[in-house]
Amino acid sequence: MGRIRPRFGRAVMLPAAAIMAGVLLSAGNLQATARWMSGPAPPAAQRAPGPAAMKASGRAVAGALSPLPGGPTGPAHPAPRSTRSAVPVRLIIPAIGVDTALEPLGLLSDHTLQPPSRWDTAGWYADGVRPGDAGPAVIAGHVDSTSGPAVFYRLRDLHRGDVVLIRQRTGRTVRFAVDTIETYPKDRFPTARVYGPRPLPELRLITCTGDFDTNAHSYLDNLVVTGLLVT
Amino acid sequence: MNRSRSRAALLVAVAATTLAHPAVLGAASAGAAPSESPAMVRGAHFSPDTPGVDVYLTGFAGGTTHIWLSDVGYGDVSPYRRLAAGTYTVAMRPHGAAASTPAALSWVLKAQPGHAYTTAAVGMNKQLHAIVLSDELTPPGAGDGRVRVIQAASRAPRASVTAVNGPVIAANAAFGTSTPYRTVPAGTWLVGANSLATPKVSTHADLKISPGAVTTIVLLDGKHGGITLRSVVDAAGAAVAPVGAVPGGGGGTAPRPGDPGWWPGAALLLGAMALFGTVVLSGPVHARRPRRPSAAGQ
Repeated sequence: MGRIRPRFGRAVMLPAAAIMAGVLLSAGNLQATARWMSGPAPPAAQRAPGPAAMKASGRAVAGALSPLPGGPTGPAHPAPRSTRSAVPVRLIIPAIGVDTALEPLGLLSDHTLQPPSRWDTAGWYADGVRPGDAGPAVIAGHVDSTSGPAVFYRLRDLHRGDVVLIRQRTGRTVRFAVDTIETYPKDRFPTARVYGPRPLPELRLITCTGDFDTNAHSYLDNLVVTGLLVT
Repeated sequence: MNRSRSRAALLVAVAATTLAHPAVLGAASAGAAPSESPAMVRGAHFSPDTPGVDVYLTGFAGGTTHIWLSDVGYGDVSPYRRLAAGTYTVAMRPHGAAASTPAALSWVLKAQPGHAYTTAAVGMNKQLHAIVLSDELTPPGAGDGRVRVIQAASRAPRASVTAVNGPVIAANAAFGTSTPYRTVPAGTWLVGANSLATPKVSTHADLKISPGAVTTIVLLDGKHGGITLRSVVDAAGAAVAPVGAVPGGGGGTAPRPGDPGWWPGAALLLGAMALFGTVVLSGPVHARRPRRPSAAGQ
């Protein structure tokens, strides 16, 4: 269990020194001034990308931020409360002419996502994250039917920055912007990357792409478009 | 199969270079050098005897300074914000102080694309310093949550945080430390915190550990003496995430590599579309798995 070990006193630190410390930090010379994790500190080389990593440099300027005269007084503000987004009912992607209702999807008995029941309508994973709430909200659509293009046929044409709109049942519209467009082989689908927890609202628009296996009646790849909430 | 893939790639490359269609070129270069995803950052104030502060961010690249958080007080944890990946100076000033005044505390934040961070001022005022924590984004197992404790209660120099009839989440944690994440079965737990020093202080609270989510429990000095517990969600996901890939097509537009007449037809189609300026090939064009023109046309 590590204790905080300030390396600097309260001596005045010029902004230039702060910048210099930053340059040293960015060059890989971790000038950690305190320990903020339990257990022994790992070697510096392992510290930066680790999940409980700590890297900070700084010290207080004497007198610039005086202590509260009465000492600790408890939390300054009450803890914020979060509200849940309404159910999504429509998906609109102007850049590729998508304007579709959204059907709720569940999981099949093998825990894979149920495919949308119609070629021309997308679906959202209703037991997952609602679009607009923190985390990855999953929306799936077919790329084609057995005879021609389907609702997500042009998903591949999206670019970073393209707008994706979700209309909620309350009439509110939440706006996302495309961040990444990625293709994964279905047999190596990165479940953690696509479905793992996220701090802010994100969309995962998923369809099929790649080669079509005529024996399995299935495409070999998934196309995953990530949208980030625009605030 | 591989041969036909490289042939398709070659076709696209030939169309792009000889016909020099702007849309095709744009797609190709976008695939070669994608810009980075942003990082996610939140700020927190964990110094019990330090008044409210304003927090500023200055990017090393560009160097513009802007106020990030205003009037952050002890115990506050801001929402996350997206931030272009890169290196920043975080500067703290007393709430209301002009941006031109010297920072009371400043530190460096290195934000990698797609990663999440919690950065905070910690310790008692006379030892005030900054920390940057990497926040976990890996999914917990089904029915579990991932939980860490930030021990920011000065009235408990050392404390344990335990779920009643459940796991010990933090053992003997010193004021000003944080624990690594650990797995806790999801649910609303009665969580107790006990100081191990004299005078003994303790508290308890019902805290929700959401399945599929990452949670930080914060131990703080109480409003009216003693200590108090709060929890904040670091990252949220589905309680039960789907497994594996997503089915999504009937194959009606899929190319049939076996068809004898497919290649000449595709070459003609691609050339004609590029010439007439109607090809919109978006996304990366890469050799391993090139996008093929579909039989249905585009």
